[in-house]
Amino acid sequence: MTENRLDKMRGELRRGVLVLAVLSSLKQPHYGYSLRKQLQDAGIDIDEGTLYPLVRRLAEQGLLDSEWQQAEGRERRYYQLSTLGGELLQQLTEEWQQLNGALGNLLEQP
Amino acid sequence: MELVDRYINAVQRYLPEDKRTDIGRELSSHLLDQLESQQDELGRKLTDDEVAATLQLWGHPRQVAATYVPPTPLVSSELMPVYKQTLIYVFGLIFLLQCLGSSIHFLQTDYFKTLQFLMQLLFGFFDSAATAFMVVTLLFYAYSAGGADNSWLLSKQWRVQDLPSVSRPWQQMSAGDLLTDLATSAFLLIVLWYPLWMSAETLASIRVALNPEIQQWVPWLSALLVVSVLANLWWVWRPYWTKLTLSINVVLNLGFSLSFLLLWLSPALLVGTDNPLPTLLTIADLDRVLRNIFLLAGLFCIYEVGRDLYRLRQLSR
Repeated sequence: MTENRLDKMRGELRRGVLVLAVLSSLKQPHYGYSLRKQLQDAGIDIDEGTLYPLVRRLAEQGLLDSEWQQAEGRERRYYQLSTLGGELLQQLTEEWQQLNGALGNLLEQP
Repeated sequence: MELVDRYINAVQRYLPEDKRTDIGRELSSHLLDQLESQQDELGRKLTDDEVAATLQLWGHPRQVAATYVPPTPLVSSELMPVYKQTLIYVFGLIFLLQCLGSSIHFLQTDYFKTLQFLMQLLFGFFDSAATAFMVVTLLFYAYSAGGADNSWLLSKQWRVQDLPSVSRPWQQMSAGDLLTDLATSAFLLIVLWYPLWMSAETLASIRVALNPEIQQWVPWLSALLVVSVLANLWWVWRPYWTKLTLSINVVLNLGFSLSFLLLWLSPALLVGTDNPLPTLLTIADLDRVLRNIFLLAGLFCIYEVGRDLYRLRQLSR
């Protein structure tokens, strides 16, 4: 029961920062699987069912540009931060740093 | 990679037509990348079982489709409180109308069967409530899906100053009590004015009537009942016990308790007509039953007067 609750709350906590993580990773172009690997290597493990639809939604909102490319005999859709996405990322980063600093102070309190 | 194609086809079945090709193409690319990476790790080609196991982990095709195109809820979470409130009011109104309809129907027939009356009331209510539920839900769905301006529904124009001053839990009127009072008052009004609703044949075949002395009370009782209906309608709009609403309720209940107790003390409430009563039933029996009902109703009204006076005192402190 406690583990379930922890999993649920952990999921909620992570969901909020996923957008930031994805936008930040897509400063460089990535296709779906390579983006997932990059996030995994950075310590952010997101399952496919969450990541790929999220990337698609961000692209539909105009925050990412996408392009189909042929590589290794197969086609892949590469995503990269758009101008609008870049502006939003900057604002979200400032917001995150402010929040992180405030939260850090709170968590350090005895 | 036949299994992958089968899986993607299955996912596409659950997607809107305009998105099927694009999402299928993208999903195929993700899946093939993942399987290729697994092959590289193992250093050999994957068996069908291994491919199937990987696809299984992605989840049921319907689930995967839903992550790409989440289903639109019938009513958005933002509108849900208004939706629930609307349903309560609509169901209450239907119940009230059904009570009135069934009462009129009962007065128009030349016989009375309690069970039949209750069944008619119950089934009539569920029949109308099911239709109303569908219509209200469809209207809210249209609003939720259409993205129309719903600020008027969400009461975005409000002021703290307009909120009722409610400091005790009992000050919130219960919807059930309000509807019961409304239905009872409306039902009694219809019964009192039965000559207006009854057909000529039914009136001619009636076996008992009100004693002419009691008949004189009908306008007074009707006035009380009309005030009660109007007050309850107002309280449906603002369901809070305040000094004013409590005072009105005290006056109403005093009027009712006085009337009911006087009726209880009356020597004869009913008189026979030219039509004979069924065997084993006499006017005196019916009188006794009615008097007992009036006594109980009168005592209940007195209890409510006492309760409301106590509450008035609490609010005055």
